[in-house]
Amino acid sequence: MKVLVHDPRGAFAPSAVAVSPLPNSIAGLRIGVLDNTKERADIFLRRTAELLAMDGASITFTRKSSFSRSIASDTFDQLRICDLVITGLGG
Amino acid sequence: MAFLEFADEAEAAEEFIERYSDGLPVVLPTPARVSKLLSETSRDPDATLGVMMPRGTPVTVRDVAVNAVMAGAPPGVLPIILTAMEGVLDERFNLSSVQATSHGAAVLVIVSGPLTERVGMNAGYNVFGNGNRANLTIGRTVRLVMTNVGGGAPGLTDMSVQGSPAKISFCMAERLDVEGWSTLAERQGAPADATTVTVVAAEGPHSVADGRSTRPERLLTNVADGMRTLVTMNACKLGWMVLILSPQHARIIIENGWDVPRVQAYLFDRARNTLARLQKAGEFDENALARFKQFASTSDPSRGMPVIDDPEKLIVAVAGGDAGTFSSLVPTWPASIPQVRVVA
Repeated sequence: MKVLVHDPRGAFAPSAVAVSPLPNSIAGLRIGVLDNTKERADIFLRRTAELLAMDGASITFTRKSSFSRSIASDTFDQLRICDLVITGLGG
Repeated sequence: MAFLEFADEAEAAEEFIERYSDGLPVVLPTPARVSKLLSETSRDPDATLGVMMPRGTPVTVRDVAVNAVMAGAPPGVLPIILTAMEGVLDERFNLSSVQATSHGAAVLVIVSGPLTERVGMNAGYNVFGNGNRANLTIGRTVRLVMTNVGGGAPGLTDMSVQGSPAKISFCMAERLDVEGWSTLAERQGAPADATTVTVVAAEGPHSVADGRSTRPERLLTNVADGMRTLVTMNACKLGWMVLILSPQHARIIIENGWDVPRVQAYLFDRARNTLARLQKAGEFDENALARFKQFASTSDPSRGMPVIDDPEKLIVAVAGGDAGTFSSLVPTWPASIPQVRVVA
């Protein structure tokens, strides 16, 4: 006999999101960098940004107020116009 | 209102353990079970309690009831669970961070007031442990909502390095029968006979063993030593901490004429680290140094920096069995502000 139960995920309605195609070249791209403020993340991310800039990307370097806080909306607005965004995870 | 359909109960049970549980079996949330539990509250089942991150899903009263059925909640506890969820969903609790952090933060639910006795919660022996359905299912429901509705998936969005058994369920009731002691609900300003729920993003409990002290000063000096350990997030980031006194330890304090504000002031004053000691902490950084200088600017720097921002940020309650000289300290996740609500 079939069993009907509530979905415990509530109004969860997953939708497929297409992964953006990888660029062939980063020359001329706008690359955003988000420092998540984890220990030494800024050192790694700034060096990464320097190397990408040498390859012709224009860099927008941003920083969260704290790794334990959500990104500020004005920081998000700076990043949303970029072609690629780089950030860190964990620490 | 969304439903899932399965070929039979066995298939549903397996699917729920694999996809929607904490790893343990759950009670299937059939429409009849959910309706019965919802009849315990006058709230509109479709009312939204808030939006839960990281998935950004609205959490309804019904969603909470569905997960409470799954957790095995007994009659009477739904109002407590709904109140806890309101606290967790408050922006100041910063649930997004609590869900995602690599720290082992769990959600401690402290319930204080007469409703705890009416619904059969445990405030006595093994208060943090196994053996009481109400305590365990309140805490378990909070976690199930966080994973199922909020999307806090271990290893995907919940990046806790090691987690904690407290992340399965972490709920306690306060003793209401300790003569000479003001309950947490009373000190929180709740109306007489009201019950409060306090939610705290916290580590699991750390035991404070002291079978020798007979004076508050000596007992609390030992507690202070526990508080000022360098390995919690409190050491460098301060914030809040929870002290759950055993009844026997509480009697030492009460019988010597001390009250909770005096306990808080005493511990705020003594649970401190000097700069030389603090610099050895694994989380010491420029922000910790700035905090130290801030405290040093208003008091003698040789006395060090406390592990909480001010005395009232030590949440003190009494729980546990009558006999025994073990209390508990509960360090917190400092990016979250504990929330207090009166059960409606």
